[in-house]
Amino acid sequence: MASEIYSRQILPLQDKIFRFSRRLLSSEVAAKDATQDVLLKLWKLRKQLRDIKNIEAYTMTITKNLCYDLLKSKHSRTLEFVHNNYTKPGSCLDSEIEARDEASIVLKLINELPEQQRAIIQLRDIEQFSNQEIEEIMGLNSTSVRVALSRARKKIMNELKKTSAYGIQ
Amino acid sequence: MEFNKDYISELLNLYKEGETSLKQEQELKLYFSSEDYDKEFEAYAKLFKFFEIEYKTQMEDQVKGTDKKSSSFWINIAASICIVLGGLWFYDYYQNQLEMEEARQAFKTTQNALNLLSNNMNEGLEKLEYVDVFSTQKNKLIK
Repeated sequence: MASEIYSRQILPLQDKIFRFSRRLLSSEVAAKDATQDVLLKLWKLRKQLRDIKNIEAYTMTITKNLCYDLLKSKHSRTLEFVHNNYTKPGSCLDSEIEARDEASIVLKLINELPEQQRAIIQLRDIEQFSNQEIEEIMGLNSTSVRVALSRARKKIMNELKKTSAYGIQ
Repeated sequence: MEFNKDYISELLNLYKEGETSLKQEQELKLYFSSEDYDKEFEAYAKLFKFFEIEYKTQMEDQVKGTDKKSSSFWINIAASICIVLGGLWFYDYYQNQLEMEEARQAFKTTQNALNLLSNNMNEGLEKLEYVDVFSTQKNKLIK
């Protein structure tokens, strides 16, 4: 019974977990590991899942906590995740073409945001969680969520407008 | 889809302030997913297109959970067939055993009856000895 809830409600969330942890950890490989860890953690908790009202938000909370722990432990060991998925070592031409690609510009801007803003942008603009859910996931009040969201969006837009202005010239 | 330019720019302003509802953001996504958005909003279009692409990203080699259920279903069926076959076989075996027992019983009874008969026959045979004596006496007399 509990395992049925798990496969029906948790397993379809894999992509969301993966995308969120990839946003936070900035590494595809680390994100895959984190996704497995989150799935395992939820599997162990499967008997309690029935009592949780918003499983999606709960899953995201677990993902966030796990990623934050990972980031913290990496920082304390003065190690950083290598952003090898975004800055591929290759010829200059490759990276130039890549940089011209609109999506990768946005990606770069988002990845330059502070951790919290990155998480909130991911949850709101990509995964389309409501503000209440984001408050629950991030453990913030409604004002801080709105402020962080607005700051992140403004920053991305300012940078984007700059780059597109260069593009026209 | 008809979208008023003023309406869109108003939505975008709200969006920048973090004041748009999810529904309004959906409208913006829809607006930018069509190619005929106003070129003035080019930068926003990039952002929203990125969100679209990102939302479609999937993780490779996902954990699958549905196969297990169906296999256990078939195992259940196989197990019940085994139990039914086993039951039938045992019933058959038991029935055979009963028949064998009955046959053995009948054999024993018949054997006893035959033994009894042959004993009686042997008893009769003793009396027949006199016939032999009778015949020798007769031979003496008649010679």
